[in-house]
Amino acid sequence: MWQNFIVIVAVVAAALYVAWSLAPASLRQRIATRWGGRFTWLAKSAEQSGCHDCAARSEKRSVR
Amino acid sequence: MRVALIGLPNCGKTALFNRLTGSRQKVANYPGVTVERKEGAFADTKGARYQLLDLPGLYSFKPTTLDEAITRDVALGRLAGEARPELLVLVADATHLSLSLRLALEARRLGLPMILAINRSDIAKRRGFQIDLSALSRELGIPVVETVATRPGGADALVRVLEQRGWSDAVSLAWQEPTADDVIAAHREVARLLQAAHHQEPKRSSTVAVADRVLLHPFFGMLSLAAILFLVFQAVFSWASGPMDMIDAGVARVGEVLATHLPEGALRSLLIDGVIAGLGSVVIFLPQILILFAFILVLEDSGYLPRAAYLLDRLMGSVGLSGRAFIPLLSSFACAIPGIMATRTIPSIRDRIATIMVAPLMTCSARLPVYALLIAAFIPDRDVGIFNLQGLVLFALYFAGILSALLVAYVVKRWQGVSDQHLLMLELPDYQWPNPLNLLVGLYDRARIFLQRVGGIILAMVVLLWFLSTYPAPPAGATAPAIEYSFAGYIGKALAVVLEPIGFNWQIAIALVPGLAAREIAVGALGTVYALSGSEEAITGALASTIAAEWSLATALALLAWYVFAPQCLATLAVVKRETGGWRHPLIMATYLFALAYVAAFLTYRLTLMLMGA
Repeated sequence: MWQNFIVIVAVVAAALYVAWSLAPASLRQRIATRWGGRFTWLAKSAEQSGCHDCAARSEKRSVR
Repeated sequence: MRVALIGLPNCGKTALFNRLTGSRQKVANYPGVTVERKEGAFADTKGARYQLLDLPGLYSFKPTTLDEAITRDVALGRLAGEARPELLVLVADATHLSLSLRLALEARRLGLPMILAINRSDIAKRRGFQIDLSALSRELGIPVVETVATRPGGADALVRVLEQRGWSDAVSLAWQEPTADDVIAAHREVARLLQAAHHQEPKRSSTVAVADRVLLHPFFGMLSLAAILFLVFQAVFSWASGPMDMIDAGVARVGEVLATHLPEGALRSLLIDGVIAGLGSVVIFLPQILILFAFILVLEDSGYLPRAAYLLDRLMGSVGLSGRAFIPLLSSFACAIPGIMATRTIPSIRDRIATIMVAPLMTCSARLPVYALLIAAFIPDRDVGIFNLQGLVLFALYFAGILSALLVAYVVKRWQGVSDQHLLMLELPDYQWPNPLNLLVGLYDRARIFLQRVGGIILAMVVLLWFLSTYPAPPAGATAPAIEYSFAGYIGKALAVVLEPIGFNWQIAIALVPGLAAREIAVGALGTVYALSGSEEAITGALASTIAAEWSLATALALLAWYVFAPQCLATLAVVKRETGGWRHPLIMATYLFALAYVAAFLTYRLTLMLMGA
């Protein structure tokens, strides 16, 4: 039973992650604008262009 | 205070940006690395904070390329959503001062306070360059400081000047682009300034002159380039086997431990057949990727790459591309996305579009795991003369990508009709020994990016694929492996109808779909699919042995041919849309790459079958 529960959580999380990663930037920005106030990581993640795992992504800001 | 770094390409702006902000933006010893503005922040010793902009290099404020226009527009406050900088730091290469001084004279007309930072001053002094900084500062009427952006503390003099001065406000002037007369007058003024500052240059080193005579020679230069590339691909296979075996053994061990300790059930299958089999198949290629990038980083740092661009200008010109396309195409060996963005340095819009259209044909690092898997499975590990056969095949695949890019560029240029003529003007940087620290940091970054992909999108895809390959459960009395009754099994078999003529089975068909998100996912997907098909070897990480037993040589070669042209990942299409301003070019690109991939795989499969007498 507990195995099934963990598997369901893992599969749902993976589906959401893939959908978010491959979503167009404009859609991610809209979602981030709607929910970004509550979930700051969402807004940060939406800023990254294209597939946010991409090797080409560049850090927008760096602060020292 | 908003401060902008401007200067000629390859003078060290990004290195200075990194030094001041503690950032790790990409730097290299060739022009055109920075093609968009980057922003960072730092504080001086008195606590005052500065917003720092790193802008693309430019030779003049009369831009000829998109990246130069970005710098001009930011400096003039014309870029929408970008506040005008309050201070310019003009970065000049101490070993190439005259062009930088001409730019400084143009920049003075922008109406912004300015500091001249003479960078690489350590190298200049070592080589015998001399200049009186106070005299230059007096003549120009602006502060002049020396910097060494690559050394800790190398920007302290610049920070001290920033602290001390009460900077005047920016003035809005009616900006006019410099005319030819202005340029001639500026050259005369530069000569006067250098004389007033007692500037002395040493004679050119005879070693460098000899090296350039060989490396830029039409025949020996090309021979050297071919030898360097050959060495790279040989090393990728010859040097990586030890660490790859260690990773393979580690993955197999983790699989065994999980199999021993976890009870039968869905979680056990997810971890062993999905995660371990899938990720293990991909992560094993980390050593090969790092060896490839080690060579690329060394070539970048050494100053060789612009010389290769010069060498290949004639070849590029014969298919209608400019020599400036070389750096974007070379960047595409790492990933097509920075390569496509680097086309902003190409002045002609037609050349730029042609370069964008062929950039995905350069073999990006995501294709390396696919190539390496198939080569390891089907090409014997033996020597041909002094060369390793597997390395030779890898070289041939990279060469096939380059050749097809040139052919497609030729077709695109013919289709575009009239061609713009742009001569290649490229400043050849000095040779330098690669900085070991830069190399280590570069390799660390590549390893981090690869492992983030493995732990991010690839892991998520593998989990999804496991789910689709496991459910629904097979009906009672089913005799075939359970995966054949799953969602993925049905999808794979439906796709296999289209892919059967090119020799692909339903397992390959399943792997190609997630491979559209990122090419190396195809390897992880094959690992998971074969693990769920009951292959013990796939579970323990030896995917190469599994496919060697299951596929024909014709199928393997067809899949290699498919991946030479295989449509790029979705992120690349998104960047092409952004850079070309619409869906037309990404759609044309996806269509022609699919068509080429299918035709190439079909011909390869049928010819191999014919030659093997099947």
